[in-house]
Amino acid sequence: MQFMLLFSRQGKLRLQKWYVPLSDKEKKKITRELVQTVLARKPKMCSFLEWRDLKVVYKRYASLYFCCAIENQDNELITLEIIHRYVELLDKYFGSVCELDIIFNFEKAYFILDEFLLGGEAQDTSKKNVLKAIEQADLLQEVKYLTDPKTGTSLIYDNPDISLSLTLSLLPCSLCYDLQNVDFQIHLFPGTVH
Amino acid sequence: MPAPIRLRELIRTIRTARTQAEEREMIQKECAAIRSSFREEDNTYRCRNVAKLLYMHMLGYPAHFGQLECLKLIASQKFTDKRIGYLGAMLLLDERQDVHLLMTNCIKNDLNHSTQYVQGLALCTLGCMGSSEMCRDLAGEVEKLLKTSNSYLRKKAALCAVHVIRKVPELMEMFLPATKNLLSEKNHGVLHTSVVLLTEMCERSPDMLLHFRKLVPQLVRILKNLIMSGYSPEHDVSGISDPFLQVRILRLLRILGRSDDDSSEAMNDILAQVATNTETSKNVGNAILYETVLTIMDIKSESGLRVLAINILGRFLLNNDKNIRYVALTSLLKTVQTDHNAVQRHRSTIVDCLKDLDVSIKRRAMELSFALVNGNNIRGMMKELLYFLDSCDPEFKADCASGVFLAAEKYAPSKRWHIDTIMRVLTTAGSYVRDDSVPNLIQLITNSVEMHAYTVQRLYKALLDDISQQPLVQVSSWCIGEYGDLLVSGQCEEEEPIQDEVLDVLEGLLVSNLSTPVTRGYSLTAIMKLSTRFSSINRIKKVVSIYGSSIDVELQQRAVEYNALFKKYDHMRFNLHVLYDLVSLLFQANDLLDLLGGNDVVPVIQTTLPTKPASAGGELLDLLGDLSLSGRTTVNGLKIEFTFERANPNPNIAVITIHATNTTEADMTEFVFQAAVPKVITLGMSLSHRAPATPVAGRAQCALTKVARYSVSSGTLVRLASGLDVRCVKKQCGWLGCVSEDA
Repeated sequence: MQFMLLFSRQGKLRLQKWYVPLSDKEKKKITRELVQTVLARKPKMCSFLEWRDLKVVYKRYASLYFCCAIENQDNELITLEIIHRYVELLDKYFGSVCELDIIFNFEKAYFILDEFLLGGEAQDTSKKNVLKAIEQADLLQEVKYLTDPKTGTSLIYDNPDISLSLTLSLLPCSLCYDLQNVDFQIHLFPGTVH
Repeated sequence: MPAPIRLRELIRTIRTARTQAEEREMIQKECAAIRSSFREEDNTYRCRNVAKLLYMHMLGYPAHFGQLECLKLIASQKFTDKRIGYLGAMLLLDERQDVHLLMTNCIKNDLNHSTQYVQGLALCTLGCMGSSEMCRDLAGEVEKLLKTSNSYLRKKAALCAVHVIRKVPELMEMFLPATKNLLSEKNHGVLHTSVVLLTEMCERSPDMLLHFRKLVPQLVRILKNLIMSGYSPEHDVSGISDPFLQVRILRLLRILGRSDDDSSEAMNDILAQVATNTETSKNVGNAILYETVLTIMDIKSESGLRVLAINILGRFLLNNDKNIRYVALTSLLKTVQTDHNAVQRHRSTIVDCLKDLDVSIKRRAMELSFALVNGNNIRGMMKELLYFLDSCDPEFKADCASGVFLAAEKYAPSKRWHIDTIMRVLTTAGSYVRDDSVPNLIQLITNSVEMHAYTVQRLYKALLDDISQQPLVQVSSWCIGEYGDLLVSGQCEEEEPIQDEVLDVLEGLLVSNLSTPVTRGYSLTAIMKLSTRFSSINRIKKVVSIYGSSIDVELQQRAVEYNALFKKYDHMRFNLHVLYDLVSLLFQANDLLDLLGGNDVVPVIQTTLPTKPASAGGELLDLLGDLSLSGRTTVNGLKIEFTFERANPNPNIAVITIHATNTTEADMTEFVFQAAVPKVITLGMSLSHRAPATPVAGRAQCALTKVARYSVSSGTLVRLASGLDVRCVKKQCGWLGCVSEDA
């Protein structure tokens, strides 16, 4: 895969991941052109198009277009599955993901993508593994100084971006940063004590 | 200084902006705040500020001043900082700037960090945007991690290695030892990324390919286990076990089996198994089948397997899912050359796809349809293709028209059918036809002697209906000029027009706004030609003289010369008409190259000539008829023979030799040879041993050698016309003017 773009129906970019080195100017040009081309497609058309010397695979999920540019020897149909897998991961992580989630938590969308794909290829084909890794990494964010997470000791919580200080044990749960607002969510699993 | 606002707060604020200007203002304000915060070297909020910067960067605003801050974040000991720092590096830094090299040391340290998630971040960043220098420095670390037993890191290291190899192919060797046990892994993540790594290595190096060929049995085994194993919830997608891994293995098998009989043999069974057992109701299954088909077609598979593959593609064509239809057409296009007969069986389905709504599918179906046309199915296929030409989008028309012409030329069952087909194309998609088709069509029509009357009548009718499509108009005017006598003489089946009506039409073209200058040229010339075929000479004279003062220089020049013909050379005009584009040696550069391909002289092609009576005033030796490429003519006792050969020292020079033999008893006087050529050709004439004014004695021979230089751009249309004993040679299609031998 050469790059992946996520954009809305109005053409606003929500995520861009480039796996090839290009200047900022080139990236902007490509993004503009491709967004225009994809948005001009009618709903009955197939998900593939030839663009420059690449194949572009795109799929629309609600108000977001997921668009990947692959090389000629890549399999278009499996790329559709890759896109779908990424959406499933987002969905599991955010709980019924919608475009707003991606807007307000764009950095998390990137983290999830980077845990799923590396250099344009899938790192792990198990949904469970990818999600587990994200969760563990999220927990590490709550630690002031990194120590060995396996022992679960000497973790000092001092993150200025949360107004509550929580003592957490290393149980799978994910936190949103901004606890003061309406989009405050904590996903809990049964048995968590806090 | 108050704490910088939170990321989510900023996002919310910016989204409330109602105009672009308002948004820009907010952004600028925040950027200023961030800048000053950076200047203060604030560690606590650096992460938050960079995150905000990344958001603004995504909106399209410049964020380069955050690059160094990203580096500082990467060096921090907090995981949050590192996460945002690496993200920032991947978004803001690029390998063209030296700044990125500063990352190298941090990455090196992090690759050796005690926390695997930190190592993961480093591997991810390196594998995504590492430059060649960075890769060179850090390849050793990556290689180390490739050998670790931690599967989380191993899988990432494998993909990172792929990137390193892409950037610095020479380093491939160093990863070889680490690949030893990769396929014995149980972990699917490691397996998947290992197969990707092996694929990359095999694609880049034939040596590696040879080395890894021995893995074929192991790969076959893994694939078999995937298919045969029961339900595994972790890797299941719609009932299929780890389709991503299956597809990757199939792709690697393709590379390993290509041009190797033994490997292809070893994978034969598993391919058949996958092809027959895979569930096709969902996209996943079809993705695997698609990859299987690609593999079968690429390796040295036995014919049974190939037929199986093509049948799968045939089934794909009937699938409701347009994506599946699309990949089927694409794959069939690749295989149509090698497995032509098998693909032919699906011809009707393919032709149906011409009616699909999707542009990409239509295009593929069109290309494939043209590839499938042959002598047996030409009539049926052409019907469909012409119907398609009628109804398709403009972007297809030019290609379709060209395709139709080519197919018609190759497989036309009869001349009449051929002409009808061309007519159909000209009338339905006339404006999209390529420019070079016009001369080709003219030549085709000329060669179909028995069809002249039919053709000119049909073209005339088409012209009555519509004069907007230039190629059609041009061909029609030329034909009317050439065969106008047939048009009015009653040879046509239907009611024929009278001379004045024909002239009305041609004059109409001259004045119409729809006609291009080229078209006007054609119609003026046609009118002029008719002066020798029709009786309404005065009318023609009038038209020609009007255009003597036309603004269009080309038109004016023609009109003036034609006028002169009326005034000064009226007695010759009748015979001159044949010069207007007679002895057209139409050759396109490739034809010429074919012609002059060898070192032999091309055999002379005989053509028949219509004879015309000589006018008063001696033995006028006209060279009549259309001689393609070369010709032999005998007129009034003078036999003329053209031959071609390539000049030895300079291949760009064509030597045209003209032998003139006087076969009559009487002497021939006033033997003058003239020739005119288009601007792309330089003509040099040399008379080998004959002074022009000397009479050619009875039964004597004289040889004139002409040397013509031509340009080799393909598609150049060259017309070389020669005339004997004429003082004026008329212009047609931009000729240079005459070269006279007259002393």
